[in-house]
Order: sequence, then C-alpha cells, then structure tokens
Amino acid sequence: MTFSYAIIVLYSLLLSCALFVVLTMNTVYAVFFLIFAFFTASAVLLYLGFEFLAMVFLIVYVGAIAVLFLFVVMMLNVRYIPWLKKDLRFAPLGFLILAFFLLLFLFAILHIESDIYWSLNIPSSFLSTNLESAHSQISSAENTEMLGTLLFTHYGYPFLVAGYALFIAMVGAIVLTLRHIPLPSKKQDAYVQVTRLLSTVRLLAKDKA
Amino acid sequence: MLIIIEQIIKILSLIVPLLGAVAYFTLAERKIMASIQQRRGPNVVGFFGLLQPLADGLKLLIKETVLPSSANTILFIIGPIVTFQLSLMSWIVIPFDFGSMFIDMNVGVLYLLGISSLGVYGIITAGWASNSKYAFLGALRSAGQMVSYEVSLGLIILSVLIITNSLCLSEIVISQAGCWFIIPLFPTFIMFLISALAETNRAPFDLPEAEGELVAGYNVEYSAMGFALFFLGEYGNMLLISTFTTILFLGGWLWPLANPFTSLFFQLVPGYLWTGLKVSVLAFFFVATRAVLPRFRYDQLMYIGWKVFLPMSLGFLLLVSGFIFSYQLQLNNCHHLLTVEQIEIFLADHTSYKDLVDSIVRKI
Repeated sequence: MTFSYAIIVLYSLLLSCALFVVLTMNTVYAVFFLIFAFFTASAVLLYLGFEFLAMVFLIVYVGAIAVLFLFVVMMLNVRYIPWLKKDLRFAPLGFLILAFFLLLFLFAILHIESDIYWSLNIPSSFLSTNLESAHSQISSAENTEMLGTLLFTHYGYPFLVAGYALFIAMVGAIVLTLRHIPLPSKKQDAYVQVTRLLSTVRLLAKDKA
Repeated sequence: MLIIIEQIIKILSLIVPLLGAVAYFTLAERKIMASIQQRRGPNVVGFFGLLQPLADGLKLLIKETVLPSSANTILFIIGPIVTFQLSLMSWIVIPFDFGSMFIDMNVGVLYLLGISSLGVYGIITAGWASNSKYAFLGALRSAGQMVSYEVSLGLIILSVLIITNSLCLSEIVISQAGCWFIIPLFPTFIMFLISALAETNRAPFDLPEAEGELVAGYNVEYSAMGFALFFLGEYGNMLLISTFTTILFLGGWLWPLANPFTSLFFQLVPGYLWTGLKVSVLAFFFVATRAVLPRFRYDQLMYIGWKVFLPMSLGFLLLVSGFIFSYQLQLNNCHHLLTVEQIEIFLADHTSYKDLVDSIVRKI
C-alpha cells in the first residue's frame, strides 16, 4: 500500500470531521460535518484507486442518506443540544468499541499482502490468460468491471438476498406508516380525466357556463 | 510552476466560455420568450440588446449585499457558493469533441450523477440559513423534487449504459457512431427530457420558485452577488443537462447519420459545432417549455415522478436488457480506442479523423 502525505492529510481531515460531528453544539453543523466526513471518505477511496466505490459512496451517502438526515434535523428545529461535559457513563463502552476496532485493524494489517489488489481475492478468470493482460485489466482502473464480475457471477445469491432484505425493510416501513382514510378524499385520477368522453366534458363545460 | 500556470489556463479556458454561454443563455431566454409572447424583449443595451447580460451582471455586482440579521451568516454565504461551484465542477468530464475534454474519467456518468446529487445542498443550506418560512419551504420542495427525480433519471441512464457497456462519456458518444440512441430509446429520451426539467427546477416544474405561493423560493433573502451566483448556477445546470442529454441520446459531437462513407458534407463542420448545435436545440426546448406550459401542482409532480416515470423507466430497463441478452447486442468495450496515441494522431493530423471513425465503426 502506498503511503504518502496526501493520504495522511485526507485521513486526518476525515478524523477531525468525525470528531466535530460529536463535539459541535449545533445539530445542523453536526450534519454538515458528517457530510464533509463522507465527502472526505470518498476522496480517500478515490485516492486509493477505487473510483467506482468512491462515486457510489458520494451518490448514496452524500446524495441520499445525508439529505434525509439534514431534512429531519432542519424540520425538528433543535438547534442546540445541552452539552453534558461530565457525563462519562458511556466512556467504557466507547473504549471497548475502540479496542475492538483497533484489534480488527491490527489483524487486517498483519494479513494484508503487499499489494492491496491481491487482498481482494480476485477471481481466477482475471488471472487465467496471462499475467500482463490480467494486470492491465486490473490497473486500467476498470474496477467497475471487476466489481460487477465479482458481484454478479461469484456472489450472485448473496447479492439477491441483500436485495430482498432491503425490499422487505421498505415494505415494512410502508406498512407501518400507511393509513387508510375511510372518507372519500379529493384525489385526482389522471386516468379517469384522460379517458373521459369528449361529449361529457362538453356537457360539464356547458353546465358551468 | 509552469504546470500550475498551464492548469490555470486550462481551467480558465473552460470556465470563461462557459460563463459567457450562461450569460447569453439568459439573454436568449428573454428574447425567445418575448417573441413567443409577441414582445420585443431586451433591445436597448447594445446592438439588438446584445450587451444586456453584461449590464445585468454589472448591476448585480454593484448592488448592496444584504445579510439578514436573523440568518445563519456562514451557511447563508456558503449556500450560493456551493451551488455555483458544483455547476462548474460538472463540466470537467464533458467531451465537446473527440478527445477535447478536461479529464477523460472512466466513471464520468457516475461523477455527473454524484455532482448533481450534491446540488441539493446548496439549495437546502440557503433555504435553512435564510431563517425565513418562504425560503425554507422552497428549499424543502426543491430538495424533495431533485431527490425523487434523480431515481428515474438514474434508471434511464442505466438503460443507456447497458447498451454502451461503459461509464465513460466519450465512449458513450463513440458507441453511437452507427445510430444515435434517440432512435432505439425514443420513449426513454422523452422521459429523460421531462425528468431533466424537474431536476433543474425549471418550468413546468418550477415549484420551488412558485411566485404566487413562495415569493421566489429558496433565494428570497438573497440580493446582489448571492442571487447572481444562484442564477448562474441554475442556468449552468440547465446547459449541463442539455449537454448530458446530447451525449447520452443525440450522439455528442457526431454528425447526423454518422456514416463515414455518406456524409462527406457533414464532416466539413467540426465536432464541437455539432455539440453546440444540439445543445442549443435542447436549450431552446427548455425555454420554449417555460413559455408554453403552465406550472404543475406539487402532488402532480410527485405523482409523475414516482408513479409514472419510475415504473416506466424500470420497465424500459428490463426491456432493453432483455433485448441485449437475447440478441447478444452488447457492444464491445471500446476503451482501447481512446488511447493517448490516437488522440495525438487526431490532434496532429485532422484529416485522419475520418479513418479513425471508420475504424471505430468497423470495430463496433
């Protein structure tokens, strides 16, 4: 893995943004710092050469999820949260989580190969023909193609299962929030409007006139 | 040092003509709308009113910038800057001619989608920071509209991408050498145009700026340059989405019936002029729609977005992928066609363009 000053700057920016999400008093500012953290994470991914993942990160997290966050925070109109300085009840839990992730990272770093590409478990089809073409396939930054091959051929069923899980979650949310209104509501039906007979429309117009 | 100067000149050579285009697009809009409504339009400043945009710009520049006392100052200032910046950022991946783009990104389409989804933030920031009910309602409407139409827009783009087999914008154009995608994907093209109107908050979907209800929407509190930045950003986005439509459906810089054997006449016109012509036609469409159609109601807007365009674009995606799967129509990935050497050859000798397109067509 290449290590340079740019990545250090990006990581420190990301960490400080994440810190400010927690530390800032203004909730709207907190969401903006969160957005900036997502943005920086996408920049890190771009720097590492995963441009497809970076763009998807940008579209999904910044473009969709953070917008909803911002919506909720702005609508609730809770601008300042009381800052409890001495509340350290959850500190042990936080340190536990921190220790867990540190161990995880340590484990990952010890097991990663010299090049980050080879740790991705590239399917044998990319390596079968000859090394040069395989390398060009990978390093021509066509990781869109690589991800597609991995997802849709090697991990097709887990992908479908993940899709169904999301679908069920969506249906659940709709079922929870759906209210049947018994009264006849003034709802416009475009189909009825469009397929009305011309004669009846004319009659209606005459009645009004 | 030299590299920095070169980069700055490159950036300026993209931004300055773009701002000129945006300024004269506003004049074109006023002129076209005037002629539709049988008026003269701006005709006083300069010859035929051609200096009107400059006068407008100067007026906005020297007006007083008002910062509302109850506004959140930082976000209030950031909002228009973000909108304007994002509308400029998108242009770096747009190919105007063969090999003439700032960056030939191989996830260009995703980049454009990502930047356009970031566009919500400028508006929502401005609306919230103004601390005014009209501005906030306008911003909420605008954000809701942009988020919901992005879904169908993305699905429509997917049905193009399935055919081209690439996310690179210049490859999308080159793969239309045989036939523009407007012909096989005509219904999708129509849906894309309407979604583009909604995505750029244009009439008949300009509910965020509904004068009758919300005064002017999210930019009520803005004056002088803040307003100008919003204005330029919006018109820039309009031109951008016209260019994007051109690239996706109208064959970008390619001439009509891009068959290199029959169209010797068309070839005399350089590619960037073809791009400009197509973009102008779409920009005219944007203006004419505003002059002709009345504004939609908000529930009608959402109805069209979620209940008409989303199912239709999903169905079309299935249809297109089914066709491609059953007839094995998938184009070969033509990434190797755009090597550095070929661009150099093209730049060195313009006459070899025909042979190049020849070879591309043969390969496809």
